[in-house]
Amino acid sequence: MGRSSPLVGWLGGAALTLMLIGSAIGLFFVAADAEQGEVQRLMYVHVPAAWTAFVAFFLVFIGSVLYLVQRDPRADRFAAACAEVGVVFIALTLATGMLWGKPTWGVWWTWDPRLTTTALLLAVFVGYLAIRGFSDDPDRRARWSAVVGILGFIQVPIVYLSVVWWRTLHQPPSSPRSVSSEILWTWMLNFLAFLLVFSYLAARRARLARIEAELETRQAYDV
Amino acid sequence: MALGSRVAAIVWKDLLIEVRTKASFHSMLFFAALVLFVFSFAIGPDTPLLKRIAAGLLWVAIIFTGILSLSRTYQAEEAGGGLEGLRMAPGDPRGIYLGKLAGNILLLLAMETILFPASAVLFQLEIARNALPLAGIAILGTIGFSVVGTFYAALTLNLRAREILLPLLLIPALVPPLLGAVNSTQLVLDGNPLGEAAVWVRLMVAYDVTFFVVCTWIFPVAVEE
Amino acid sequence: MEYAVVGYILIWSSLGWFAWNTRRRLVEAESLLESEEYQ
Repeated sequence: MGRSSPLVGWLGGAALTLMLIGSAIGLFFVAADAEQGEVQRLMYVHVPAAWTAFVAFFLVFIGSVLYLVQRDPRADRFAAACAEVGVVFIALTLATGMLWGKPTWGVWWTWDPRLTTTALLLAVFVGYLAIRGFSDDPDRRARWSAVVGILGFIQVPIVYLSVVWWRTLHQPPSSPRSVSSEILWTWMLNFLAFLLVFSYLAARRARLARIEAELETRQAYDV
Repeated sequence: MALGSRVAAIVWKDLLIEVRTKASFHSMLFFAALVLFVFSFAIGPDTPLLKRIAAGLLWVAIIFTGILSLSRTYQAEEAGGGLEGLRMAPGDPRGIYLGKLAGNILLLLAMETILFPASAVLFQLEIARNALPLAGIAILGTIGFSVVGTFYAALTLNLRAREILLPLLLIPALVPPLLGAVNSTQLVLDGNPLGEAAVWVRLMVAYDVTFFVVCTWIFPVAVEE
Repeated sequence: MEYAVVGYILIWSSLGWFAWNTRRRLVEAESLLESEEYQ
């Protein structure tokens, strides 16, 4: 199986560095927002976390399609790793969104289209991991979760659209605020940081899955 | 066996079983009515309020009943070891899906023909003069539910925790048809001509077509050996 | 400000926990693999 590639180590180091810089800027070095105050700092991580979660979701879809087409277990392990790390990011998106909402709107939850779709996306991720958790046979597990991953990916845009329509029935959509370049750069920085963290963690998870698969095969032959 | 005749054979067989025993139909109907009652008790005898949310209550009852009956979709085959036989029979496994789908749709629609008038009585709704648009909405919503429901039921068939996995997978997927059905139903009942409801109807049609195509296409992967 | 700090702490601690947990499982699995290789 060989040692883990040193590239992954470098990836981890770069990820950590960028995370430190990004968080420091978001928490301390950027000026507090004129309208919303200190709470706005959460946006510097909430938005990048959301973007990372969507990237993860897209990668799960790609991995699932690749697996069904090529039946290569590596594609399945790739998809599973992206889902495992992705679920953390989607949960963080939800949590930071709610932490931002409480002081801003006064409540922990509103049926805001993006918040609601994020919650449903979390449900889809959980369903994907649940079907893997309850499958015994690795082939079936790969196949079924690939199907769930593909269907889930197709569902989410439709879910988002329908929730937006649902909400505009009761409330006109808020006009988007213009974003200063300072905010945009901080978003980009933290997005890059999160992507690096995501890649590092997913690579480690994929390696773990590969070793566990190898151990399983050997156990099967040892009997 | 050609796809068409396979589908027809499955539908016919399931329908015969159903017509002879009427087991599913009666229990589904009774369960749906019970759900409506439970909600009414939980929310309180505030008739104007119930009337305002009647569409939501109705479709929640349909979905809960549908989920229960879905887990039984393949039960008849399971007991007699028939699923293996169906799978091993030569020809397109999609015939199984389409046959089961048609059966589920028919069963749910049959239940709704009684449930809609029953809720009209319970919640004082005027369904008679809106019968045609309501029927159309019911058909679209039922198709949407059954298309993904029948699919996920087959997918989770062999899993240990399928009673919880099926709703877990199904409910997020049902948000668009649920919103579409509830909103269009409520709009129609409120006397709104199919103007505003049209957006929701289009959503349901798009959803039904998209997932009918995707699920039919990918079904063989779900039931491969 | 407290909400923002809680949010950042949440992010660091969950990602950190995830990294630590993966590392622990990897170390276990790798040692198991190497012990098997020399059997």
